[in-house]
Amino acid sequence: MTTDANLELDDMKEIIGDFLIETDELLHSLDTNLVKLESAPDDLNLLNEIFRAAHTIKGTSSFLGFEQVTTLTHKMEDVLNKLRKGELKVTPVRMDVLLESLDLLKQLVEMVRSGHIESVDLSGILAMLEVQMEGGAAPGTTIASPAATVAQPTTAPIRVMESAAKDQPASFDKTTAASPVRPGAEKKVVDQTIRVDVNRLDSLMNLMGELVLSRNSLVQTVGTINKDEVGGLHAEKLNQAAASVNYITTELQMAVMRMRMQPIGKVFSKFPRLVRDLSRDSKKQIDLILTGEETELDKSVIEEIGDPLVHIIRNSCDHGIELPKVREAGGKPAKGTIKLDACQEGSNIVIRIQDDGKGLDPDAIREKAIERGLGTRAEIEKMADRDIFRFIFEAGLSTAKVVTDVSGRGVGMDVVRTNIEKLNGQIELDSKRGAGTTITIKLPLTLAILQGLLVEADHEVYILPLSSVIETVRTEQSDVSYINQRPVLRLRDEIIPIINFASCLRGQGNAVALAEKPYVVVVGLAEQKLGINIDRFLGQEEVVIKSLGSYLGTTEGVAGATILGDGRIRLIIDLIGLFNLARRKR
Amino acid sequence: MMKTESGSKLDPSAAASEELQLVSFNIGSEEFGVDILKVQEINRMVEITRVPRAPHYVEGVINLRGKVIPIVDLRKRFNLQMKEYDKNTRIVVVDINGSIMGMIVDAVSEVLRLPAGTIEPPPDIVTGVNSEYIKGVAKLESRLLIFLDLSKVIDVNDLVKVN
Repeated sequence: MTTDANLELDDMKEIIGDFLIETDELLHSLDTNLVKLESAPDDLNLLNEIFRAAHTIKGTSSFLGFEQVTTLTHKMEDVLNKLRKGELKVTPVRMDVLLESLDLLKQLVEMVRSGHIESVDLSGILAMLEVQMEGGAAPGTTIASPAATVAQPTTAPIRVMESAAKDQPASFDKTTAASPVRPGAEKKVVDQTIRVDVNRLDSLMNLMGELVLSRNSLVQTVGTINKDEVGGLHAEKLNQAAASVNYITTELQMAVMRMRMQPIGKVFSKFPRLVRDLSRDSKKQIDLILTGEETELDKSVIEEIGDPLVHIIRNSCDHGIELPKVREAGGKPAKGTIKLDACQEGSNIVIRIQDDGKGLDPDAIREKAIERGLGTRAEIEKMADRDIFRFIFEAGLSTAKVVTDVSGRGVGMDVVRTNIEKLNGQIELDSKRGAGTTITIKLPLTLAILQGLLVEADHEVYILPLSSVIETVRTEQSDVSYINQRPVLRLRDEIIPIINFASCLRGQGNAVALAEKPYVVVVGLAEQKLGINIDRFLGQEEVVIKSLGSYLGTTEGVAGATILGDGRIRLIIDLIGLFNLARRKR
Repeated sequence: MMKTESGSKLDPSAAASEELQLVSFNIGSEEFGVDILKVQEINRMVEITRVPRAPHYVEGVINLRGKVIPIVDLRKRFNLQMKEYDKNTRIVVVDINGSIMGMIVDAVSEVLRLPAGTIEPPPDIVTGVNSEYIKGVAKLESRLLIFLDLSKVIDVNDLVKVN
């Protein structure tokens, strides 16, 4: 575990940094592809891809002197090579050993990252790999350097890194990790991607935000120009110029946003392994079907969405899908299915996790909710199942005990809710006993520039993030009822609490004096909905969040401010804060 | 001796002839001064956007050429009686340790040059203004000028507490 001491420290750091980035991607693809290999043991393209990944890791790690990484990948490569040549067959045990080596490999790489490289005892796993390698091999077969003996059985392009000393092979762009093998697709990737420091992208995004605000101001000013004063021709030209600036800014904004986008497949790709391991541990048979991996999301959203998805999928495996016998007894195929889908709907991304397991038991949740004092028995028994399911997001109710005793699900659901809230997203849960559960997560496409709904309340103008607005209604007094003197809106089959926007923000209680025909904005956050009573709708504008500064930054219910086209500052509402304020008041 | 920041021009060890430049402004009948190096600009009143549940002396935020900055009303800060804003009302934009913010004052009068030695430590009971905000008092020909300690007037920790 020595590195070349002669290399400048900074250079070394950079090279190791590159090694880590690249290796992460390769490990990622190995994870996905090894699991895939189990269900498609004869897929030579897949095998070749796996082999290449292992080989690249071996090459770069040996160049950098990470001996243990090299030794381990070398042995893995031996086994893979035999699989590839058809000398060995893909068996569950063999795959277990390979996956275990992969886990160990990840640990070693993690050590490189942290800079604390300790010697790890690899003898056990090496011996196991050795056994696997000998497993089907004719005695006396010697394993030479696989790169030299590659017999290319297919026409698929094989990019063996001849010179492992190159620090940036860049032969695996991010999409290859998530998508199935595409013969020929990698050919020209080398010069077509470029790694950019995230800080540079962030500063570009900030400038973009300023440009959007200036554009808004320009368009608004041009709109008010008096033709008679400026002269018709000039006014016309000015109008055209403004229109084109407007158009280009929008295009530019999309382009800059797209630069920060990453395919959600990056997150999805770790789930096949997760589901495989969970199903093996619990003796269940589970199929994971991924669709829409190419759907793109802002980098910041991608980073936050992984954890909640892990919790949800783990729940589906642990508590949703039943054992094969139970399933067959219930007239369902022995193999359960979890579908994970992502798609774009307008300026939102919708992620749907669907299982065909046993579903939630609303009555058991009712009991638990009453026990925990989340409402009176009468109240809770009256509630619709859909509202009852929301209780599983309550911290405390989602304990393992509830889950095993009761029905289904709940572990870590408050983690899910917290993360989704942070992203200003919404969750919906639908479940049918015996038929399964569907969880739908709706997230804004990006966090930096948002579509704002301008509303007026108590002579002040506020901005609500449009992505969280479910609908706006002009309702009748008669649609409003009171529960414990708190107003609620009956909207179709839902009961939605109403708050008075201005007084709630000021922390002055919730004295709702509703107008004759009150305007209500229904907003959603995670699993909850809230009706906001306002005086007037003013319109919609694209806004950029600016901080209120360290003095006022902590004001609850206010996410920040923005400058509108007319130069005025308006406050952007932070829905998490507003929901908290409303909860406290109620 | 005076309580001073290290390296400040008020440092008694500095030459007595050293000059101090102050921006002076009025609130009610009192005249105040702040170090000119802390003052970024002086603006007329503009529209202020109120921020709910901010400390009572924070009037709100304004748009300063594309930046959002908070505005403190010094009358409210010093617990003085409120007065309608008029044509003399100004916003003094100051930079306090990197944070930009505005202070509403009744009127800005002038830029003064004073020898550092003419500033004396504040007497115990001076004005309506709480003496902890006061760095010193300068005797001019016929009047007194109160030299404000900006980092005390607008203290971040204080604001957090109020919040």
